[in-house]
Amino acid sequence: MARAQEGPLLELSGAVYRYGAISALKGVDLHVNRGEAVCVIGPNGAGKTTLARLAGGLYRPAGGTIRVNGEPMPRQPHEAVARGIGSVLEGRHLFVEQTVQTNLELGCYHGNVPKAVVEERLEKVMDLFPVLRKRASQETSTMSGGEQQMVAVGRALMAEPEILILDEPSMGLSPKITGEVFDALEALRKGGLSILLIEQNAPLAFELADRGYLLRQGEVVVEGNIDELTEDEVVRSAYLGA
Amino acid sequence: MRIIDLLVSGLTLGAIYALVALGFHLVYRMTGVLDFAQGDKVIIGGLLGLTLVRQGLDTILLVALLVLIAGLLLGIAYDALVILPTQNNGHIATIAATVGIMLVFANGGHLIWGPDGKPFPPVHRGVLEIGEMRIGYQDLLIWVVVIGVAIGLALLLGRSRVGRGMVAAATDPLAAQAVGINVSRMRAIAFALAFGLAALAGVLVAPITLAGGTLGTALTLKGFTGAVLGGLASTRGVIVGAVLLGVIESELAAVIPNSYVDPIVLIALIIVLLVMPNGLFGLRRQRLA
Ligand SMILES: Nc1ncnc2c1ncn2[C@@H]1O[C@H](COP(=O)(O)OP(=O)(O)OP(=O)(O)O)[C@@H](O)[C@H]1O
Ligand SMILES: [Mg+2]
Repeated sequence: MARAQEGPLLELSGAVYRYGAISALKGVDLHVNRGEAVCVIGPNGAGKTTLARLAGGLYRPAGGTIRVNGEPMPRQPHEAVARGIGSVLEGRHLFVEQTVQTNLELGCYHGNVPKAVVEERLEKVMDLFPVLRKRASQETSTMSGGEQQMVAVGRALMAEPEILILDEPSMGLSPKITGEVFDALEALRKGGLSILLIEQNAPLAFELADRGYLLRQGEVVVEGNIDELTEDEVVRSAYLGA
Repeated sequence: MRIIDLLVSGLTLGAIYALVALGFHLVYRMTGVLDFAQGDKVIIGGLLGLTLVRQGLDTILLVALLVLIAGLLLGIAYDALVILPTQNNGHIATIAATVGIMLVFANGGHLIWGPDGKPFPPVHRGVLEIGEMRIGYQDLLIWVVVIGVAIGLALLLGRSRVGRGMVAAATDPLAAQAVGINVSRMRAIAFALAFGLAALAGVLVAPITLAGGTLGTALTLKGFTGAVLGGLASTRGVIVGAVLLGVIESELAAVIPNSYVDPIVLIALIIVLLVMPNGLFGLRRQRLA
């Protein structure tokens, strides 16, 4: 699906979003280049989830533009996946009463993918997260948080996206399981997948990402590559315990 | 009347309740709201059928088919005009809208077709006699339709791609959109089915109850009771619950005065719900299929 295009894979320009009177995003500029891993850190209520949903095409901005591969984001939320965008939502949002396998299979709903290809993709996901293999027929609601997060990532991968947008994948997970999930993300990144990672855990995000943004009260207050962010006074005092 | 005759009429009544209850079920699963216009959609179906008959269409099966199609289309309009505009304002707003539209349907029906029930021809007047048992062809037809609808829905929801999309959209709309499911379309399909099945029920039941009249609210109540009895969230549950309700009602009517039947049935429902809050089929966590 890779299109030889100039410019970033995903680009938000002056993105604005409001919940009634609450301004959640006040004109955010952000982009992710092809093959890049970009992180967004920020405190609770900064607008990170809102940003993830705009970037994932699930919410429409009240102002500004969002472009994918140089073209405007589709108007309908369900059309974003066909444009190569995979969203791993905050809180995982699995289809709770369904099995692991059904959840994963629903990940390739959009293209009406042939069964043989679905099988292949299932195999790939199971290779990435071997614990899921023995749990294929288990209902996701009975799984641990870490396993659920793996299903959530796997489900998004089933559509073979060009970019994966993850909203706080480490939330509620033990350091060990978080490590496993991030190892998988690192492997995907090495395989050429672009990543937009929303994370409160800055040190963790900085390990994976090439660049990052600090979001606060709906605005980008710091941006740069990871070295620049690690040097930044605001970032250091608030997120790196320095 | 004998037990066996009452069983026949009870099964027919239950089958009609089941068509109403399935509408409750589909709408509830898809939107989390109760649609109180469900019974009046049945009346609208009967009246549409009546109009077709008065135009000279005398093949009632064809009338039923046309009314089913009209009902499916009306369901899409219903979703767009009644549900969609209210759904961002919370469940109470949507439920209030369905109560409003219930009154619109009921009074609109009276304005256009008059307040009284009108005679309506059955598909077939004959009676099948098996030994001592007498079953009207109309009853048989209603049973066959309900069994067909049950199997069709089970296949649609359990096996088809659209069905999987509907289940996913009902479970988690945001996640469904993220994987490419058109959630608005899934909801429109659910409302189309709910209206279509109710309208079809209207044509099938009109020869027994008359077309039009004031039965809408009673049908809403009975369909809802049947659905809750079996488990509102389970397709199988609402069908079994509704049929059970029809049979129990009919049999009870033979042994106690008519006016006691409803109170006793409703008290029994409350007891069932105290013991099994999710209905008879709600013990396990339910899926749409
Ligand atoms: N559905 C909603 N209705 C009203 N306000 C909302 C809604 N969702 C979010 N907000 C508000 O928008 C702002 C940004 O919320 P958002 O969820 O994007 O923040 P976040 O950075 O993801 O926070 P967290 O770290 O807690 O996940 C917050 O002030 C929040 O209260
Ligand atoms: Mg968030």
